Amino acid sequence: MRLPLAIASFVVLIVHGVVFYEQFFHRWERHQTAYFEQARSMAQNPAEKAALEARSPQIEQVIVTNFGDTRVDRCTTCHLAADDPRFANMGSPLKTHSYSAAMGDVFRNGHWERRHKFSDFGCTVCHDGQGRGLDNFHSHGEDEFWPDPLLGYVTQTTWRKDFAPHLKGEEYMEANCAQCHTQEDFAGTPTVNRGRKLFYAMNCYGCHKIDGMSEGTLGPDLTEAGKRFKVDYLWESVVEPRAIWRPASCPSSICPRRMCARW
Amino acid sequence: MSIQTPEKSAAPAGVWSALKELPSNVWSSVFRNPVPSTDLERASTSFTNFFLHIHPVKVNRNTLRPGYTLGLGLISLFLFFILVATGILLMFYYVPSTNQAYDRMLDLRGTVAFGIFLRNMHRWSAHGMVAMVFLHMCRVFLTGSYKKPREFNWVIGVLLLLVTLFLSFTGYLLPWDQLAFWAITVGTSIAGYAPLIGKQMQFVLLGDTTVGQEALLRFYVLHVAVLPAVLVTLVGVHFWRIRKDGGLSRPEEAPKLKAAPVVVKTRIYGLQGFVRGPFTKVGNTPEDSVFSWPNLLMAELFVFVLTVSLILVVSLMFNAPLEQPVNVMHPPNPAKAPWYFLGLQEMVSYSAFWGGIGIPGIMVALLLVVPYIDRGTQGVGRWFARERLLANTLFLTLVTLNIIFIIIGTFFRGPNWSFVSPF
Amino acid sequence: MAVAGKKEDNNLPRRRMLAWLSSVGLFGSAVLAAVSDLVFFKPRVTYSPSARFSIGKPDDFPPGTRISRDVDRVCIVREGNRLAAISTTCTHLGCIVSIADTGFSCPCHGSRYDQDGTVTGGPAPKPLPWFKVTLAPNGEIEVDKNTTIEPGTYFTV
Repeated sequence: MRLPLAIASFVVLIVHGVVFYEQFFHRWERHQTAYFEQARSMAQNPAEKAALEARSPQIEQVIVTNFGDTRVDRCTTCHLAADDPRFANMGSPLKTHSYSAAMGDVFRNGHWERRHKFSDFGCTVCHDGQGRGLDNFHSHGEDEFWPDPLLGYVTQTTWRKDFAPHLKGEEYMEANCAQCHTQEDFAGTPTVNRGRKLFYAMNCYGCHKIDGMSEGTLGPDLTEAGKRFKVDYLWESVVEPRAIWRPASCPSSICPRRMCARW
Repeated sequence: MSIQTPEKSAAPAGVWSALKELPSNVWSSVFRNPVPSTDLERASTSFTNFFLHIHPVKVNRNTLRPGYTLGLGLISLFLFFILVATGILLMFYYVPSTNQAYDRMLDLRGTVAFGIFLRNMHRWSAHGMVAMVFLHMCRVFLTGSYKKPREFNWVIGVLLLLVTLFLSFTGYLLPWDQLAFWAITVGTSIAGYAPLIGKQMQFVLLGDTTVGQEALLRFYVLHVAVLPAVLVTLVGVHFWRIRKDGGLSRPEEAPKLKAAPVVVKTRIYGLQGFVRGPFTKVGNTPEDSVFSWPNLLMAELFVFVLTVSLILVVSLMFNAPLEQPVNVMHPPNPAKAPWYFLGLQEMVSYSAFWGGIGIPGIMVALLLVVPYIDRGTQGVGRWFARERLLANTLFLTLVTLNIIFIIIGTFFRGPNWSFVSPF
Repeated sequence: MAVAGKKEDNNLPRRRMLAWLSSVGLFGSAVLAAVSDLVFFKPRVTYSPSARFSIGKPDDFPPGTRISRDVDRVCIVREGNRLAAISTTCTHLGCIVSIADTGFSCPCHGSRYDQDGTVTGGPAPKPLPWFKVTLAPNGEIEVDKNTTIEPGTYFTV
């Protein structure tokens, strides 16, 4: 019995060691040290260099409660350079978040000023994804059980392969802009505006109800459908409604694919 | 189907008689021995019953003298039972969330059946237990009952005192009202004054830099799970040691009985013939010992009934406090720690380190080490024995000083911790 | 199961070696587990606002003003072109100090501080710490409560 005990004791020691080790040396720490090194080389005075030298990797988070819930967004743990204008030409994840007039940013006195400050908005309210995650798979929402993958960037493995190419694109994010910017014909959400017009032009309103827009009862209520369903399901409902619900009276040719692709 | 056999008529009759005898069979399978009516049966209760085998077969008469122990240890234990029972019941309605805790306290007070009563019982038993374990410690010291062979049990007792204080402290935060929040803010700031590791300790204790949701959750887990488990374990050891150290302390017997640990009777019952050391039988001759059943049991039951009645009456008459909901922007002026820490807070107002860490640390260290410093064997088992005048005087001085500080902190300190008159 | 009473129970060196190996394995695991517990209990994130935060642009703080931000527990002082961030957590027992004519005063136990946070009265044992102020790459002022600086060191905007 002594030999099996000795072997088992060593196995348990090694397993303990592995478990312990796995809790350190995360990938986000490597991203952060890369940022520190790069920023040090860009430093303009010794005080700045010294400050960067003193910094060690730590989890960065923004806690946002302005939108009625508690969001904890840890995206800047890897995307540490998001608000550092000097990293505009770097590769992801250490790339400055883009500025644009369409997002309300203003170019003043030689530099951009961000309208939607990260400390006020966080990241997920516009981008979706899983704020609390600290590794790619979870934080980008690639996990099939996460209801809000990174909108316009990520497709989940359970989605139909033939849909995937259509579900990427920055214009998808306008859906999240429209959460707050609800006015019709808001300049920053042209795709949403066109969508609203299509809703009437293609007669969807006849069967579907959307609060404040229509009262149709034949089809399901589509109020806030964007919040309730993932984008692949919504795509399929428009392009192949019969795939979900055979008796759907929504004709399968209501929106031929070439039309949707064009719009 | 059934084959006709000669036993056909006997089988149903067997079942029927089994059913008729069921009540007495069930009873005798649970209670294997009759209610004692002979000495042998009284003795065997301590071997045959799971709960009663915590008792020795016989106890010294001195143990049962109310004027000797005042039943303080028992009262503390029974208060703990009340705390566990009421605490578990309260857990069915309390939520340890900064958003919900206070509202749940309001519901416990307003709508939950017996809620206000259970909470009162919990609160007053908690204060009572802190006071009683302190008095129990005084009794044990003043009767010299920490001396050999009871040194380690005294140490366990000091640890139990600390766990009790910590239990009360962690529970104090849970109502999440102004009283709770600021008392714990003040109390945990004191922890931050420890040299080198103070700030780290405070951070781990609170789970954050200030008292908030993390502190509430950590204190809740400590209060309902970790500390009760530790306490129960230590209480188990504490009782075990009482048995193995020869029962409660008592005045010295005539010298002849202090001779070698010999077997008093001719028959040896199991291990007792081979065990060395303070023998439960030493000093427990038939003249000065009585059976645990029923004497010790009745004494314990009496203390239990007394304790429960007192708590019930106090809970009927006085309501536990619930002040305004937490407002982190408005510290009350003054912000006072729970009463058992007010002596500390008074000292802290003179010197943060010495009052909060230094002196309490020294006092605890002294308490822990006293049985190993004071090795005299005289004066055990009697209150205020003259042989122990020095030790008792020192102890009482420190105790009185602490009580004075607590009184000052409670009644004589007002806004900005300035002196005020309570009259 | 191997029975102890075999011909190998005279092989004491082997036994000792195995006992030593088992002890190392088990004791080492216990130590690792204990250290893991300590690591576990120290939180890696807290849900309170970050210790390093932006307070806005320099223009948000006109010269000659002292603005107290209670949520962040810091008072921003601007004199001319220089900025300072002074903690408003009383060094006595953690209450929030209020701005007074002569500096700061604490409602809990009567501690008093002057304009720079030096103790002028009451039980406070230490002066109010000054926090590091830096300019973030995006042009905003950042206060870092994890780093204290020598009182009197201003940040020049």
